[in-house]
Amino acid sequence: MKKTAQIYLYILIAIICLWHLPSFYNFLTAESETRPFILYSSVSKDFIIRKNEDNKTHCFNSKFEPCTREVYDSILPEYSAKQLAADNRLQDTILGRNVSLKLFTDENLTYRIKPEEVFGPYIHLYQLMESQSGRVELEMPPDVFRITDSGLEFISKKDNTTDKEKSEKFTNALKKADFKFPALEVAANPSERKKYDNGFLLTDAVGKFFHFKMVKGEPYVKQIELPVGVIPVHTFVTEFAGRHHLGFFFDAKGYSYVIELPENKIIKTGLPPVDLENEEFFVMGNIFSWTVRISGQKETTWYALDAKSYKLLDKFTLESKLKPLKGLSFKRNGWVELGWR
Amino acid sequence: MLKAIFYKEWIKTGLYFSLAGLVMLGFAGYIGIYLNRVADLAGMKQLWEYMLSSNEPMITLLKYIPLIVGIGGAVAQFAPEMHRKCLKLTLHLPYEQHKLLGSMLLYGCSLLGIFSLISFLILYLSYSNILPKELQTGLLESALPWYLAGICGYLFSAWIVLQPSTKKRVLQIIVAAFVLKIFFITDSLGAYMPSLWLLLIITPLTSILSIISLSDFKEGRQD
Amino acid sequence: MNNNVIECINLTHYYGKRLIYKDLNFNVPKGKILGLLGKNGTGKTTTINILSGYLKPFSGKCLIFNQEANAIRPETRKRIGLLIEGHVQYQFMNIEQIEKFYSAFFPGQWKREAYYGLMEKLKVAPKQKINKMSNGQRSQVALGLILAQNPELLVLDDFSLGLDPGYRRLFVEYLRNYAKSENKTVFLTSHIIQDMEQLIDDCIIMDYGKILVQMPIKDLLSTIKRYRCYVPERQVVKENIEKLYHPEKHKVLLEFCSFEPIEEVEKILKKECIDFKNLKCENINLEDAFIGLTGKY
Repeated sequence: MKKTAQIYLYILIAIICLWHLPSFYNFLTAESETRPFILYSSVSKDFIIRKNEDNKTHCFNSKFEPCTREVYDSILPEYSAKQLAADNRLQDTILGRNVSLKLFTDENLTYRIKPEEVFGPYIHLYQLMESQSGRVELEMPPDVFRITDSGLEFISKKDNTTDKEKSEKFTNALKKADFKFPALEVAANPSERKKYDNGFLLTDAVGKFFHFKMVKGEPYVKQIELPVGVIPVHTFVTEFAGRHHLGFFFDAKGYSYVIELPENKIIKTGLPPVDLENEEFFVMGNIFSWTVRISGQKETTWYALDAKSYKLLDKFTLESKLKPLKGLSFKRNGWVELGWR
Repeated sequence: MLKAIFYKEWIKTGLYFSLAGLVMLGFAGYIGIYLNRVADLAGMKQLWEYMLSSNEPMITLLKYIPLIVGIGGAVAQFAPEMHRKCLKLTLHLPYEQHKLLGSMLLYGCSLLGIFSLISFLILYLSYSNILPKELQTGLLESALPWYLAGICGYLFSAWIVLQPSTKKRVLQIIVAAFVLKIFFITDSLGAYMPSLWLLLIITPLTSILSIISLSDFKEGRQD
Repeated sequence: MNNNVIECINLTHYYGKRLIYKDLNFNVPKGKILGLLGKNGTGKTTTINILSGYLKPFSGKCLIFNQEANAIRPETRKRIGLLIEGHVQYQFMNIEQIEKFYSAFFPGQWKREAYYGLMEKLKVAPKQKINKMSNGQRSQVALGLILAQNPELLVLDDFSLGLDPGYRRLFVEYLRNYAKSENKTVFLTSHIIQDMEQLIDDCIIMDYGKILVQMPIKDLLSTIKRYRCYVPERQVVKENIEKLYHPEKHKVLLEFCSFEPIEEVEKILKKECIDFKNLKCENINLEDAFIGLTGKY
């Protein structure tokens, strides 16, 4: 019995060492590594790198040839429009398109997906907002809903009771659109801090794809036609200021697709497969191009996509200088999960 | 024999465990009332929306209570045994020594287990009116590691208090602190579900560590 | 059939590098009361700890009822009553609770009346907790519990510690009567020697790192003598003279103990070139014998 106890103690000590020693080593040997800010310039057809060092901003092209701050502004007018306007340098036409400060402000977009947001712990209660309330400010709904094997169940935030009438109405609307319960994937952005509401993107039990929202208290359900053989696995609703997109999704292999409004047209992007479980996805788009940053542990790659066709224009990779020692870890994407990382 | 051992343990720690039980259940009750008041005053809407957006349980006040109660329980139970080496009397009883130690630990674990179960029941009942079942489950799932930490902390503390050598005791405190850290990695609702098995293995296994201290005591180990 | 209740064979123990004793051998036959006497720090409690299984000796072994001391079976523990140094008992219990607790472990052998008989002599309330009692009262509780357990062997560690003379006498008398009337074996240690004479049958007197004497108390007291003689003031006397224990010179008076008869002592003194006069020998009690053998310092 004492032997067993000693073995157990040694196992505990081994766990502690494998858990803390590598991270302590990494902490002692780590060098500061600031990730540069990189955007694709549609003007110069190149990635432009901006770094802050010694409290100064330095700019380079992808060959690490330095450029001045003025040049930086002029080749990235979409992001420097305010500065250009203040300097009276904002042109009326760029790359053959009429532009203005307002246009850039309205059309620029950003979206970030962190692994823990997709794979982390999540309470499966959803909030269906009113997408056409007639008010400028959005409001959180007075209820939440759950998706069961047979339908939706709206629960009132006022008294924690099921609103049977509403549940039935919305369930029926989905069923009428041939939605098969339960849902495989549910996506929305329940927040008052957005400009408008695009509702939900739902993947049903058989892999069909739906846009679902509430319009003036009534359910709005529309099936989105998918390319043959494509099933959305990770879906994201977007509420960009330009209102040209409903959202985007990734299929089982990690390929990404953009859903364009108003016809809910699905366009496959030129991005390679993304491993959302281990990589962070960040997009910054403008009227000419989208810069997509995909950061993994070993390297970060910036992809430039054409803003219309989503075809790949260029890419740029920076390897991480850090080679952290692996060790036992109890954390993964927001979960407490034992692993070797 | 078990009855007699429990009788002695109760005389020794009855007051402590009664008060500790009241504190543990009191905190669970307070948290229950607190969330109900928040729901009354700010509205359930605010409460739900906060919990859904932050994914945080609103009961973190409870977090270290079971651990403190567990550590205190082990000290209340085993420090008197180490005072003037009273443990010699206990080990001299005509009962198998490992069973004797096991029975003493069983006493503490049972009380902590009962307090934890009642606390859970209090939490469950106080939220059944104000939270949907998903939030209620998430909340209890978040609290589960804390209550397991209470029992595990009790078992680690027993191992530490029973250790006669001060140097080894310091090392044991370090091991216990690191292992108990595993129970407090995150508060996120339901985040512990994939590794609950690990906590459920660590907690009961920790009871056997006291055998090492017992053996050191019997060998007359000291600094 | 081996009649020894306790057998210690080649017991050697160190604390760190400090030798407590080397190759200690002794037996306690059934029905005997053996006292392990020695000054503080000579290893009395160490021996008791080894005997009761709470200390692993450096080498050698101790057998109690033919079982290794550190692996005594629960059934055998029923036959051994243990008194820890300072009459330690569960401080958090009162007289009634502690009796109730212990009785559960000794079904069929527990003598409740023996305990309460002794408790009646104490002027304490039945609900009074042990930690609120005086040393003397606590000693009686501890003794009462051992008497109620009715074991075949009693192991008592420094039972005289902290007791005033009345309680010490009470303890000794009770124990002697009990042990002799019921043919019990007793192994005890003490650093107060006064009462031992009436209590023990055999004694082991320990010095730092060794055993000085191991014999029945009667033989000890009949053979050991105190010698006194006069010597010139300038006479130098060695500290270590074989067969003479702790010779001590006060100006012209030389005093020592020895097991040798007077004729033999005279020869030794002459051999050591000590110019002595008027050598006298006298019988002494156990306490004087103990001091004579172990020295005053």
